[in-house]
Amino acid sequence: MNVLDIRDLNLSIGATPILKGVSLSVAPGEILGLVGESGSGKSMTALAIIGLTPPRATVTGDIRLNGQLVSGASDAALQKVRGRDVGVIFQEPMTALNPVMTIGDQVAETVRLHKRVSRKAALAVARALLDRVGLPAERFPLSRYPHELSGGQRQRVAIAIAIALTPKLLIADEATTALDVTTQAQVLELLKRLVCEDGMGLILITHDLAVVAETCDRLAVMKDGELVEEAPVDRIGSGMAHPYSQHLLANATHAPVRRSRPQADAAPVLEVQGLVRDYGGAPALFGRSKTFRAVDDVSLSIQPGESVGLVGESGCGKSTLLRAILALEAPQAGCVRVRGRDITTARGVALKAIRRDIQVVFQDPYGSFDPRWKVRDLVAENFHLLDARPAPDEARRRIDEILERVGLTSSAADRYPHEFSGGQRQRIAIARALITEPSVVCLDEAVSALDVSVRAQVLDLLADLSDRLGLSYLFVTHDLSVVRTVTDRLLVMHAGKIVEQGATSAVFAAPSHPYTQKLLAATPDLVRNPALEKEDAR
Amino acid sequence: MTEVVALPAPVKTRVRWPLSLVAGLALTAVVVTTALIALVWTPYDPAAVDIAAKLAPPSAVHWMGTDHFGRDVLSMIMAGAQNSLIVAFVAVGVGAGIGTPLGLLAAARGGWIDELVMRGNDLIFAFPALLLAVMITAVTGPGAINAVIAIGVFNIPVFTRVARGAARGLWTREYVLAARTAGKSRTLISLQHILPNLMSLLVVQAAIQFAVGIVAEAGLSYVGLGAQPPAPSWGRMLAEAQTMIGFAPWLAIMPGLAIFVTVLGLSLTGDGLRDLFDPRVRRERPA
Repeated sequence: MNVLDIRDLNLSIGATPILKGVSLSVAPGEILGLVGESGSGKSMTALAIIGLTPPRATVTGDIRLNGQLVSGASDAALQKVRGRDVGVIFQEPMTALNPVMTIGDQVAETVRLHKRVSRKAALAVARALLDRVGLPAERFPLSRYPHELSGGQRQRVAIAIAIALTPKLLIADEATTALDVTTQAQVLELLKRLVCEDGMGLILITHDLAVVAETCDRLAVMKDGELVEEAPVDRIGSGMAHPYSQHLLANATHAPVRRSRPQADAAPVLEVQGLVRDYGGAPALFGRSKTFRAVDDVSLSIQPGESVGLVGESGCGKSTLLRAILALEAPQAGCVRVRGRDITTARGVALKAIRRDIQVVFQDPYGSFDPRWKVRDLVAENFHLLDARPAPDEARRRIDEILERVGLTSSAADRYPHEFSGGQRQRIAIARALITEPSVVCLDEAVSALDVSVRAQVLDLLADLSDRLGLSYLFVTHDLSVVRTVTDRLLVMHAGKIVEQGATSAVFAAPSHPYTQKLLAATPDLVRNPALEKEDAR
Repeated sequence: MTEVVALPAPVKTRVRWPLSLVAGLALTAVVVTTALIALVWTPYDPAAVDIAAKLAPPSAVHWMGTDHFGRDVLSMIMAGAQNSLIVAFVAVGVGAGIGTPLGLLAAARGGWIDELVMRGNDLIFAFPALLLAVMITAVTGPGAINAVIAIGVFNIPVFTRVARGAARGLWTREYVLAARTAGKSRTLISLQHILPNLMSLLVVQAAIQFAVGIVAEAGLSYVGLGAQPPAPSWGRMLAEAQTMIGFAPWLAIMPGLAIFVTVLGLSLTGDGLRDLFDPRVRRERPA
């Protein structure tokens, strides 16, 4: 008997259909990957299973857990089902846990909600559960609070809570998306082990096909509220039937065509030498205040037309390095030269002149624009860097031109940023960065928040702009799969230092530093070399 | 090869005004209109003494009765509305006008400037308002101006804190970082990006401080530190009614009601504005 059977599930909010005739099933011990882009309805499917649909949603269709019909059940009945028969793990481990409760109490609370046991017995169960998810007693006593744990450790606590009552079905909704790759690999490994040991069914909801390829037995692809394809996971490589699945796969492994080559013999456009950035702790009342070295003696250079990737996990100092390069924070030592001029010491007019040459595109397509400004004013903001602002007509012409160049129409100029989708906003951000015709553009996780098909379009645009304008890029990211196809050279940052650098293909083929090796091994990969995989198995 | 991306249709959002805002604005409008009418017309001269008609209860001739000098209470309340509103308005203006720039400065500069501004704030906050009013009176003599200064000074730290707290959050936003890479100075960014995005918070705070100011003015007048006779004042009317409350209760009830209605109107307006500006509250209301 399947742990989950969904037959013809329809869900609409008001007159808007969200799910259209979704049918799927999960067998005991099976891992089903549910993939799709944002708005495809994958999270809503999970919410429907646990009966947590939004208040105004109308649901039709059958949902059976262990053969028992749960759709249409009362709230009280559903409450028993949640936790006991279905465990759920969400994306944000910090918000999923109560910050003022110890981890022991939180796990024990779940146990006591569903079983009549003493507090002491519940805490003993909690201890056993935390041991099971890899949080041993000597390092993680029950009295720890969530803020004392790292993201991965918190996600382990969330998993302990989800499996506390040995549910038949576990749902992980983007549970590893917010984690670093090495942590993600460990958490996925843990989930696989638990499924294997308990014979649970697991639904892994994710936008990342590579995670599915490495973890799941079967995958289901969703688009616009419909299930377009279900296939065993080994079909990812050998070809899936539905055009949308193929489209998704093609975008996930998309490599933009780049015609121009970096000029190796020219003077570097960006040169960083011996950069050091310390964060002073608050001045201590007694004793010396502790400082933390976020960037430790970093040197790098970028040639004209070159695209360089800077990868590292959260907290490695890559964002701090970027802010120092952009002169948003002053370094303690070292210099940053943009076409020979030091940005760290420049002031006033000289600084403006350098800023014209180095611009940035940030990650968050929602946070990088002042919501009160129109696109025209946002893009024109960088005219502030010019010695003389262009005349109104000239400014208008240049803004229209740059918007068209990044694939928008000039009519976009008179609208507000919230009227655009995530990918379009990133195009606007690129337009803003390009209006002063810089030589280097820094991309701070600029495509990380985008769906794969939109990401592929933006990467194409960046490659195209680089070809036409001779731009250099510094891609700062935690996602190795992004930099693989678009960069010439790769820098790997770890604990404030650059531990390895080299041509991207060389680093991927033969990483020399142990950290790079660890990083690459942990990165889920769609196109992993089968020969390498055999070697791993041995 | 750059493809053109189709734009979504323009988004038209229908904003429904919260009920509290409508009610608050209606009450406030009544008070403000009354004050404006009093500029050109009151039923009687609010200062005219008519001993023959003293302590008359509310009637068709004197709608709100008369006091122990035979002055018409309705006329005094109408004229007093002006005084209350002007004192509260100017006091909020002083507080917002000095407090907001200080808060913006503290957030933009950080470091010792931030420390200096905020500790100065704490100092003012810790100092009793009444004591300050007494001190000012000792120097300049009593009057409405004292009330304005005393209330205004205590509005400064309120606005500084609101502005600084919210501005600090905004300074870490990516659009502010982007403005910095556009070479804009901290002052320019404060004016162009920070202040406009704080405006909703400040307006809400101003409405609340306005209500607080009305009560504070009444309080200062009550103890004789506000507007001086014969200038009409709600607070002083209350003070004078105190001894006669047993046989002429309308003398206390009428100015009390006037203060109540004004403060209620302004508080509701403040609440309503907060709901209107806060997208979270706005989204939760059924469309």
